[in-house]
Amino acid sequence: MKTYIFPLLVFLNCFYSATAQNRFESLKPEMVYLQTDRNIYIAGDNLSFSLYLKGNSKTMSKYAYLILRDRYNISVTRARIEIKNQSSFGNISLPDTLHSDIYQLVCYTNWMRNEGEDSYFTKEIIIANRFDKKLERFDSTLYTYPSANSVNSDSIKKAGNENLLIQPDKQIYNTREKVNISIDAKNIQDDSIMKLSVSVSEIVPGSRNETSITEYFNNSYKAKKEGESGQNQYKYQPEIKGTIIDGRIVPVKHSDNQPVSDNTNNESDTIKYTVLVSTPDTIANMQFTTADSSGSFRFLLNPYYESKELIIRLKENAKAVLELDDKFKLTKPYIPSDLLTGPGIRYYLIRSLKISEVQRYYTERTETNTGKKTERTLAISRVYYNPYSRVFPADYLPLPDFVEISRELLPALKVRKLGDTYVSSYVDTQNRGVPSIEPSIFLDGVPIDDVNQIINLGTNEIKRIDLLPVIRYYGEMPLSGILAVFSKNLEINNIQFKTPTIRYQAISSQNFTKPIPYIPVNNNHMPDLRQVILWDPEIKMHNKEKLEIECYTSDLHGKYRISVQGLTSSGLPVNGSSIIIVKSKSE
Amino acid sequence: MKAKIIFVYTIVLIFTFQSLQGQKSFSIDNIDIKSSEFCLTGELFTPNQSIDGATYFNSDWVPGDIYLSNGEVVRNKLIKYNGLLDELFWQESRSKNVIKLDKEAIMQFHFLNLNGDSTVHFRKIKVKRSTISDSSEIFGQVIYEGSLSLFILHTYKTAGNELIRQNGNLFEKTNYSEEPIYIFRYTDNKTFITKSLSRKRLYAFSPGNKNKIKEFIKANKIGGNKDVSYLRRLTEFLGQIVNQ
Repeated sequence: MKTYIFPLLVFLNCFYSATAQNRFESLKPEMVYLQTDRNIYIAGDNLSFSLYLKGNSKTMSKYAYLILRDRYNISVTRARIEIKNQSSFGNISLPDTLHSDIYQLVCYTNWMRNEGEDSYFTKEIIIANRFDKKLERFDSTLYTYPSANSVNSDSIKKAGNENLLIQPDKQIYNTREKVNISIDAKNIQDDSIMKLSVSVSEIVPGSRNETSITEYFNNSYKAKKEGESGQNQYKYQPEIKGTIIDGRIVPVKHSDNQPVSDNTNNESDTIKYTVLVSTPDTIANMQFTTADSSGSFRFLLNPYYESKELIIRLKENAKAVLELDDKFKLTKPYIPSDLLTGPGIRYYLIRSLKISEVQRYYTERTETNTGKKTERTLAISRVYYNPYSRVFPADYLPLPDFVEISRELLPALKVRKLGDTYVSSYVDTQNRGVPSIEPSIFLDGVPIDDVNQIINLGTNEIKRIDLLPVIRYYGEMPLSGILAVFSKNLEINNIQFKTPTIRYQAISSQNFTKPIPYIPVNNNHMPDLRQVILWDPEIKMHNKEKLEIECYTSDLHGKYRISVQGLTSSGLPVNGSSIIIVKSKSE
Repeated sequence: MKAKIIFVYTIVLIFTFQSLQGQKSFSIDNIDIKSSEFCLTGELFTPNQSIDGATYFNSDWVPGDIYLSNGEVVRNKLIKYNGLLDELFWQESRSKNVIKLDKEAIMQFHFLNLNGDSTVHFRKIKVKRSTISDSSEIFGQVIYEGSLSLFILHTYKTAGNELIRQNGNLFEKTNYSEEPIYIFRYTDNKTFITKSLSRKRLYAFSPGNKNKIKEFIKANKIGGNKDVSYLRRLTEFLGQIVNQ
């Protein structure tokens, strides 16, 4: 007997280990890496980026959040980026009113928020305002601009852990000359497709080398393993299928309507509240969910609602307010480092400002491809399809209010006055068991509290009325009939809801955009002052292959870095770099 | 002895620790956001008179997936199809109420396991049933899909009335008998509709291939029993002879 116990225990142990491992896999933290086309910009420029995501392939996030903030922690730009097959690319337009300073790019996924802000990808960039000729912010680092060939040794060092071999066809090029670059992946064991982004940009004297994707992912993973679990264990879900909206019902004090900070649950708070989401539209639409006992709720937002103004409200009345989770909220302050204030930066900025001025004079601006988002059918969360009857009040004599309209035009609907308020109900003409309680009323596609909110609408304000005098089901939610009123001037915007309500602007993802590749034109007398001579974030390459790409040098002589970063389909980070020198023909 | 106890305790501890670790991931493995599922819409079904149980394609509630017109799928709901009304019903899980689903919202529905068969599915098709009527959208059972597809409309015809006593009251009950309609449809939507799959009707389908049809019927020994596998073979055969 004893002889069987030990092997059995060992077997069970192995089984549990395997199960736990599988489960742990689904909890694998995510990491994002962002490559930008350069590190120094002029306010008004486009910042091009490519993003790579590493994590569990089965529960990979679909969206990342990108914030550009200044030293006062004010968000300058925020964007949601759609991730397709572990990568994404696009650009953000830098407002031309930005003051000259160092800014921080912060990028993360909703799942990464569980690990705390230390796990977010951050990167510093410099932005100069084109009217700021003195650039005093960088005055302390005033430095004579070194010649193109004597750049800081730090900035031309090769990044560590390079596993791609980048070879230009030669080392020194003339201005406006074709550059052929070969990318060789023979050192990579992983036999899968690689997604790469390539940047060929002027080296900023005095700036330090960027952390490569390989270094970043390897070091971050080690740090995470050492630090172990994050601070908000599984509070935030990975956005695998779509946008997740988290929120909370916060009870308020009866006197001043201030949210109660602690979660003291009254007996009334144990009610399971239903939270409704809808948007003003010509179709009655709705999504709903129920809050848990602590008042927290969560929606997987239908893509139809993206970029629309949402009306999120409680179905039941409660002395509470709704609070939605702000995915762009950063709590850890940004303290600018001195990494990008090395000698030579200021002079480089002055030069860039001059270049920008010349480009504006010649109205030269980098064109970007207006890329497309992932195409998806926009399924509207319709509450009903065909009404039993549809009335267009404009077809009849003018009637001053909804009481008159119901009396004259809507025989199935009864609106009665009870004290100071009105109540409505359907007449059960077909003996379908319609209860004499108020039907669900929708105004401009949004569910409202009761008929009193539309009682003053007359035929001049109403475009269309749909009636469904039957008990209907919307999912598991029973509706004792539906009355849908559509106004001419979106009267929903003037409605004061009786139940806790919040209006929320849903965001949509950025388009996948990249600059239009530069194609030289013969006998072009326009100056070509591109500091980034190539930015292609959408290169696909099969392993064991050699890929050839090409670009053209501009009129700016100097040293340029070819930087290639990417990820294989199995999640292996790959990178490589090389330096080329551009000299004018006379040199 | 002590060493053995320590050993056992260690093993138990390992199990407990690993189980707890697994538990941590529980919330992620079961991402269940109610609103992630599209809602079925319909109205409470309260028929004026009881519907003859024989007119249901499936007499018992069967789990099925419903494919909506907007591309979404609502999975594993208890459904029933009535051929007489041409309506799909859903038994709402909480109240057990029967909901007549909005036909406009449904593109097709699949029974997950209908008497051991997981291939039974219906699709909404546009059919002009007679020369005098407009075309309408009807749920047809998909039998075969190819260059020539076959759908069956499970329609019913009146088979007389009978008086029945219920709760002491006398009712006139209408009896129905099934009258399937076979719809052969090409990929270009050219349609051949027939109530019978007799030799004569099949000749009418392809008058130039009478001999081949005759041979096929002879080989397959067509009798009264036209099971699904025969119908599939027949549709495939008809598709082939027409394409030749």
